Amino acid sequence: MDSRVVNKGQLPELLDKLARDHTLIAPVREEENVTLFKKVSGASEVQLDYITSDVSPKGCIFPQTEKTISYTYTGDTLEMKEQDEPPKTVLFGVRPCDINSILALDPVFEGKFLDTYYLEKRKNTVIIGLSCSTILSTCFCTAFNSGPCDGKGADLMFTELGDKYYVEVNTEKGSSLVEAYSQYFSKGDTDKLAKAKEEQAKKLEGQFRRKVDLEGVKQVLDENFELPYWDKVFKKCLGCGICTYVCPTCHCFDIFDYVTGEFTGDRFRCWDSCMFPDFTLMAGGHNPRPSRKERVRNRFMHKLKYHLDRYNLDGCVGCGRCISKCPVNIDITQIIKDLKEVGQNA
Amino acid sequence: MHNEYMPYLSEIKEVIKHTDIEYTFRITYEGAVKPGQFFEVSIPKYGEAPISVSGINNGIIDLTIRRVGKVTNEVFERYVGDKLFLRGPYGNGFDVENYKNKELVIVAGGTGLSPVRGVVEYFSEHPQEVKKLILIAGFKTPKDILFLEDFERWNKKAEVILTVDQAEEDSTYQVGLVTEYIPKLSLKNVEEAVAVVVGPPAMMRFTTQKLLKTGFLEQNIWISQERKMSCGIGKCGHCKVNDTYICLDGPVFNFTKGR
Repeated sequence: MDSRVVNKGQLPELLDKLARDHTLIAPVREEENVTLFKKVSGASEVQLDYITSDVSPKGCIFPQTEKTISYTYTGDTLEMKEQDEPPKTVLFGVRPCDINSILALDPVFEGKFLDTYYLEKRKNTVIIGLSCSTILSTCFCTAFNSGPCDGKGADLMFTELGDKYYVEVNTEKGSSLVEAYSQYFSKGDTDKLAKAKEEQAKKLEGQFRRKVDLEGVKQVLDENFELPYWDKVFKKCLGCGICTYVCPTCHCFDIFDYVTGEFTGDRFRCWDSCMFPDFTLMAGGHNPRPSRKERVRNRFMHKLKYHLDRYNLDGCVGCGRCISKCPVNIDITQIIKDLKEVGQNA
Repeated sequence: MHNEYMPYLSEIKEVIKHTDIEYTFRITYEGAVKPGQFFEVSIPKYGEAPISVSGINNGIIDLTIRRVGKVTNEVFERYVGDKLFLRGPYGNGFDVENYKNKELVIVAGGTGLSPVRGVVEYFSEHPQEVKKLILIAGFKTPKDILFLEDFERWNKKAEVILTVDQAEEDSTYQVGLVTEYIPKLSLKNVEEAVAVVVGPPAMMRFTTQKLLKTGFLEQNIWISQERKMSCGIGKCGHCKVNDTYICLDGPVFNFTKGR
């Protein structure tokens, strides 16, 4: 694997150049304590010292609301306008958990039928990862074969080490970007930095306060669809759906039309949530998942079992957002612990 | 990259009115399609709805639609010559090969007859390909009966039981639930007979229970599941049951997988 060095002092200039030549999306401080991934026009808007964004950057590839088709329809004639090709985009500063989540989303939008909206953006986006330097109390990415400095899935992986960034060049896309901006990527003493990164990763891995052990959990879920445990867990859930909104691996959406004029309209797709009762409600009135208990169970089964069953990839990446945002403190790591116990007592 | 979400145009050739809220729209479609598959039918400004194919002819497909929502309401305002927009066909559909040279029992409840109608048509046109064909079709009342004109034709080629849950006293229809007829079926070898069950969830549950009790084997029963398919192509999550996308892996399932 190729690697490079970027001087910290030169990063702003590099980001300015990237923003000039591409759509640059990076973490931005929206207001005090709120960080979101947004389009920026230069380095001055980028919040380099963020820890985790409040909403995951998946929206850069799978937007919360997306106009898919615009049409003019008179009853006799129909003109449909497809989306323009997405711009060349650089997604900068993505944390390992969120990169891992994009890898979990890929097979959903690939497969027998290709999802052009996702895949075109994915193709046109270069992902520049950024290793963590702080571990939050809600973090547990190490439970899912990842870690605070894991560059798997990133085109380029940046790790801050003293006055430098150590840059791992993981893909062709990453390599082309390095070539195009070669004046910022020196060959420097990468061996020393690679070692320093390893040490940093080790040090950070020791700072996780949440010890999450998944062993045996999937087996419990494989063997038990009905568990008295779910009768307990769902009771405090308000069904607000925030967990699915902030989750970087949730991919459900709805499609609907929005009228813009007598003969014109747009077709949209928007994130949807399996936590809402009408998610499964059919026009005829039948609802196959009518109770909150079933919806709560479905969400955790999806994260810990179904995604694995279907794609052989974890459905959770340990970003901790659902834990920190849940208004009633439903905690997936506690659920993992409890399910483990259920298995041990069985 | 081909955009699977772009609908194409289809023209309404004929509208057949079965009941006040159930019409069959006979529309143009060129391409391969199997009974049990479905289309995302749309009308610009109103959105899309998943509708299964109830009939297949050269260049023409039938969509039997129940007026229950925003999109279907609007479809009912459309007449011959008007246009609908389609995506699909999606889903696996019924594979008639599974039923060839067997004693075949098809049990349909209400609009559940639509997705399976193509299978009934196939074997009533090729009666030599099946050892026996029995259709049990149940509707709530006589005025809910769909495809009434087809039953006469099917009656000549198959053993047809048309039944209603309730009727006026002077009605000529048999009254009873579809499940009541299952134990009375005259089959040579129930363990080798195959069954297809399509209808509302409760009807499917009780019917499969009765079939199993009568001696049918689980692997010889097929069902078709109904869900709210929004994308139809295994992305949006609405029809997902466990790790299965009904729109991709179904909607037709062998009972060993689909229960």
